Amino acid sequence: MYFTVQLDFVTQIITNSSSVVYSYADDNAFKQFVNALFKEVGIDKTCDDVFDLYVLPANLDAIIEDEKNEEYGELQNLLKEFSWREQAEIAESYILEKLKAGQKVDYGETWFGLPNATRLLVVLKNGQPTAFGNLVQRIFTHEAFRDG
Amino acid sequence: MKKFYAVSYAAKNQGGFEHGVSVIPGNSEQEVLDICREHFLRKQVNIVDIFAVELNLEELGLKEI
Repeated sequence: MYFTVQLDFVTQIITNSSSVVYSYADDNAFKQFVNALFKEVGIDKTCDDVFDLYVLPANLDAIIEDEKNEEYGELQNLLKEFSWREQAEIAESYILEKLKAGQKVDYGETWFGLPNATRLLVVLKNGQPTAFGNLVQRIFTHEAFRDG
Repeated sequence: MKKFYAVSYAAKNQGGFEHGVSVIPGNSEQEVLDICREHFLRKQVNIVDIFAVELNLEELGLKEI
Protein backbone atom coordinates (compact mmCIF):
# COMPACT_ATOMS: atom_id res chain seq x y z
CA MET A 1 0.00 0.00 0.00
CA TYR A 2 1.37 3.39 -0.85
CA PHE A 3 0.44 7.02 -1.21
CA THR A 4 1.17 9.41 -4.02
CA VAL A 5 0.91 13.15 -3.72
CA GLN A 6 1.32 15.82 -6.33
CA LEU A 7 3.99 18.18 -5.08
CA ASP A 8 4.49 21.11 -7.37
CA PHE A 9 2.59 22.88 -10.03
CA VAL A 10 5.17 23.68 -12.65
CA THR A 11 4.74 25.88 -15.66
CA GLN A 12 7.39 25.79 -18.29
CA ILE A 13 7.85 28.78 -20.52
CA ILE A 14 9.98 28.22 -23.58
CA THR A 15 11.02 31.02 -25.89
CA ASN A 16 13.38 30.98 -28.84
CA SER A 17 16.29 31.95 -26.68
CA SER A 18 15.57 30.67 -23.20
CA SER A 19 13.73 28.18 -21.08
CA VAL A 20 12.37 29.24 -17.69
CA VAL A 21 10.60 27.05 -15.18
CA TYR A 22 8.38 28.60 -12.52
CA SER A 23 7.44 26.41 -9.61
CA TYR A 24 4.82 27.10 -6.99
CA ALA A 25 5.12 25.68 -3.50
CA ASP A 26 2.16 23.69 -2.27
CA ASP A 27 1.90 23.34 1.49
CA ASN A 28 -1.00 20.93 1.08
CA ALA A 29 1.21 18.44 -0.78
CA PHE A 30 3.80 18.60 2.00
CA LYS A 31 1.07 18.04 4.61
CA GLN A 32 -0.26 15.04 2.70
CA PHE A 33 3.19 13.53 2.53
CA VAL A 34 4.00 14.04 6.21
CA ASN A 35 0.56 12.89 7.38
CA ALA A 36 0.82 9.75 5.23
CA LEU A 37 4.32 9.10 6.59
CA PHE A 38 3.27 9.57 10.23
CA LYS A 39 0.23 7.33 9.79
CA GLU A 40 2.22 4.55 8.13
CA VAL A 41 5.00 4.46 10.70
CA GLY A 42 2.65 4.83 13.69
CA ILE A 43 3.38 8.40 14.81
CA ASP A 44 0.18 9.68 16.44
CA LYS A 45 0.58 13.27 15.23
CA THR A 46 -0.26 15.39 12.22
CA CYS A 47 1.87 17.69 10.14
CA ASP A 48 0.21 20.70 11.80
CA ASP A 49 1.20 19.37 15.24
CA VAL A 50 4.85 19.24 14.27
CA PHE A 51 5.51 21.88 11.59
CA ASP A 52 4.58 25.44 10.74
CA LEU A 53 4.43 25.96 6.99
CA TYR A 54 4.81 29.28 5.17
CA VAL A 55 4.67 29.91 1.43
CA LEU A 56 7.24 32.59 0.60
CA PRO A 57 8.32 34.20 -2.67
CA ALA A 58 11.06 32.16 -4.36
CA ASN A 59 12.80 35.34 -5.46
CA LEU A 60 12.69 38.19 -2.98
CA ASP A 61 14.24 40.57 -5.50
CA ALA A 62 10.98 40.44 -7.46
CA ILE A 63 9.20 41.81 -4.39
CA ILE A 64 11.87 44.32 -3.47
CA GLU A 65 11.93 45.78 -6.96
CA ASP A 66 8.17 45.65 -7.66
CA GLU A 67 7.29 49.33 -7.41
CA LYS A 68 3.82 48.75 -8.89
CA ASN A 69 2.71 46.68 -5.92
CA GLU A 70 1.38 49.20 -3.41
CA GLU A 71 1.27 46.55 -0.71
CA TYR A 72 5.05 46.76 -0.54
CA GLY A 73 5.31 50.54 -0.15
CA GLU A 74 5.96 50.18 3.58
CA LEU A 75 8.53 47.46 3.01
CA GLN A 76 10.32 49.36 0.27
CA ASN A 77 10.59 52.43 2.49
CA LEU A 78 11.98 50.25 5.26
CA LEU A 79 14.51 48.69 2.91
CA LYS A 80 15.99 52.07 1.98
CA GLU A 81 17.69 52.02 5.36
CA PHE A 82 19.55 48.81 4.58
CA SER A 83 22.27 47.81 2.19
CA TRP A 84 21.31 45.57 -0.73
CA ARG A 85 23.11 42.71 1.01
CA GLU A 86 20.68 42.92 3.94
CA GLN A 87 17.52 43.64 1.97
CA ALA A 88 16.49 40.07 1.14
CA GLU A 89 16.75 38.98 4.77
CA ILE A 90 14.76 42.00 5.97
CA ALA A 91 12.12 41.46 3.27
CA GLU A 92 11.74 37.79 4.25
CA SER A 93 11.34 38.68 7.94
CA TYR A 94 8.77 41.34 7.03
CA ILE A 95 6.71 38.89 4.95
CA LEU A 96 7.05 36.13 7.54
CA GLU A 97 5.73 38.39 10.29
CA LYS A 98 2.68 39.18 8.17
CA LEU A 99 2.05 35.49 7.48
CA LYS A 100 2.45 34.61 11.17
CA ALA A 101 -0.15 37.27 11.95
CA GLY A 102 -2.52 35.45 9.60
CA GLN A 103 -2.38 38.13 6.87
CA LYS A 104 -2.45 37.21 3.19
CA VAL A 105 0.42 38.56 1.15
CA ASP A 106 0.29 39.24 -2.58
CA TYR A 107 3.53 38.14 -4.24
CA GLY A 108 2.75 39.87 -7.52
CA GLU A 109 3.16 38.69 -11.07
CA THR A 110 5.83 38.27 -13.67
CA TRP A 111 5.84 40.75 -16.55
CA PHE A 112 3.87 38.26 -18.66
CA GLY A 113 1.15 37.76 -16.08
CA LEU A 114 2.06 34.54 -14.26
CA PRO A 115 2.22 34.61 -10.45
CA ASN A 116 5.75 34.98 -9.13
CA ALA A 117 7.29 31.64 -8.12
CA THR A 118 7.08 30.59 -4.47
CA ARG A 119 8.84 28.22 -2.09
CA LEU A 120 7.76 26.45 1.06
CA LEU A 121 9.37 27.28 4.40
CA VAL A 122 9.03 24.43 6.88
CA VAL A 123 9.59 25.30 10.54
CA LEU A 124 9.69 22.62 13.19
CA LYS A 125 7.73 23.63 16.29
CA ASN A 126 9.92 21.77 18.80
CA GLY A 127 13.50 20.62 18.40
CA GLN A 128 15.49 20.29 15.24
CA PRO A 129 15.43 16.92 13.46
CA THR A 130 17.90 18.12 10.84
CA ALA A 131 18.12 14.75 9.14
CA PHE A 132 14.39 14.80 8.42
CA GLY A 133 14.76 18.30 6.97
CA ASN A 134 17.54 17.04 4.72
CA LEU A 135 15.39 14.13 3.57
CA VAL A 136 12.43 16.40 2.81
CA GLN A 137 14.65 18.82 0.93
CA ARG A 138 16.13 15.96 -1.08
CA ILE A 139 12.82 14.47 -2.16
CA PHE A 140 11.02 17.79 -2.66
CA THR A 141 13.73 19.23 -4.88
CA HIS A 142 14.15 16.19 -7.07
CA GLU A 143 15.88 17.24 -10.29
CA ALA A 144 15.61 15.18 -13.43
CA PHE A 145 16.60 15.66 -17.02
CA ARG A 146 14.99 14.25 -20.13
CA ASP A 147 16.34 14.83 -23.59
CA GLY A 148 13.62 14.93 -26.26
CA MET B 1 10.90 -5.26 11.46
CA LYS B 2 8.83 -3.48 8.81
CA LYS B 3 10.81 -0.84 6.94
CA PHE B 4 9.49 2.18 5.09
CA TYR B 5 10.89 4.13 2.18
CA ALA B 6 10.20 7.58 0.77
CA VAL B 7 10.11 7.35 -3.00
CA SER B 8 10.47 10.42 -5.19
CA TYR B 9 9.76 10.26 -8.90
CA ALA B 10 9.76 12.59 -11.86
CA ALA B 11 7.58 11.67 -14.80
CA LYS B 12 6.70 13.05 -18.18
CA ASN B 13 3.01 13.32 -18.97
CA GLN B 14 1.09 14.83 -21.86
CA GLY B 15 0.95 18.27 -20.26
CA GLY B 16 4.60 18.46 -19.21
CA PHE B 17 6.32 17.06 -16.17
CA GLU B 18 5.14 15.93 -12.77
CA HIS B 19 6.87 15.13 -9.52
CA GLY B 20 5.49 12.91 -6.80
CA VAL B 21 6.44 11.38 -3.48
CA SER B 22 5.19 8.14 -1.96
CA VAL B 23 5.65 6.33 1.34
CA ILE B 24 6.09 2.62 0.66
CA PRO B 25 6.76 -0.33 3.01
CA GLY B 26 9.33 -2.85 1.82
CA ASN B 27 12.34 -4.96 2.68
CA SER B 28 14.92 -3.14 0.58
CA GLU B 29 15.41 -0.12 -1.63
CA GLN B 30 15.54 -2.39 -4.68
CA GLU B 31 12.30 -4.15 -3.79
CA VAL B 32 10.49 -0.83 -3.35
CA LEU B 33 11.83 0.55 -6.64
CA ASP B 34 10.75 -2.64 -8.41
CA ILE B 35 7.23 -2.29 -6.96
CA CYS B 36 7.08 1.33 -8.14
CA ARG B 37 8.41 0.63 -11.62
CA GLU B 38 5.88 -2.17 -12.07
CA HIS B 39 3.08 0.10 -10.87
CA PHE B 40 4.08 2.93 -13.20
CA LEU B 41 4.44 0.53 -16.11
CA ARG B 42 0.87 -0.70 -15.52
CA LYS B 43 -0.38 2.89 -15.31
CA GLN B 44 1.64 3.83 -18.41
CA VAL B 45 3.45 6.59 -16.53
CA ASN B 46 6.62 7.62 -18.30
CA ILE B 47 9.17 7.76 -15.47
CA VAL B 48 12.17 10.03 -16.08
CA ASP B 49 13.89 9.48 -12.74
CA ILE B 50 13.10 7.71 -9.47
CA PHE B 51 14.84 7.07 -6.16
CA ALA B 52 14.02 5.65 -2.73
CA VAL B 53 15.33 6.60 0.71
CA GLU B 54 14.87 4.45 3.80
CA LEU B 55 12.88 6.15 6.54
CA ASN B 56 14.76 5.39 9.72
CA LEU B 57 12.79 7.28 12.36
CA GLU B 58 15.65 7.37 14.84
CA GLU B 59 18.15 8.67 12.32
CA LEU B 60 15.61 11.19 11.03
CA GLY B 61 15.02 12.53 14.53
CA LEU B 62 11.34 11.59 14.41
CA LYS B 63 11.30 9.17 17.34
CA GLU B 64 10.80 11.88 19.91
CA ILE B 65 8.79 14.52 18.11
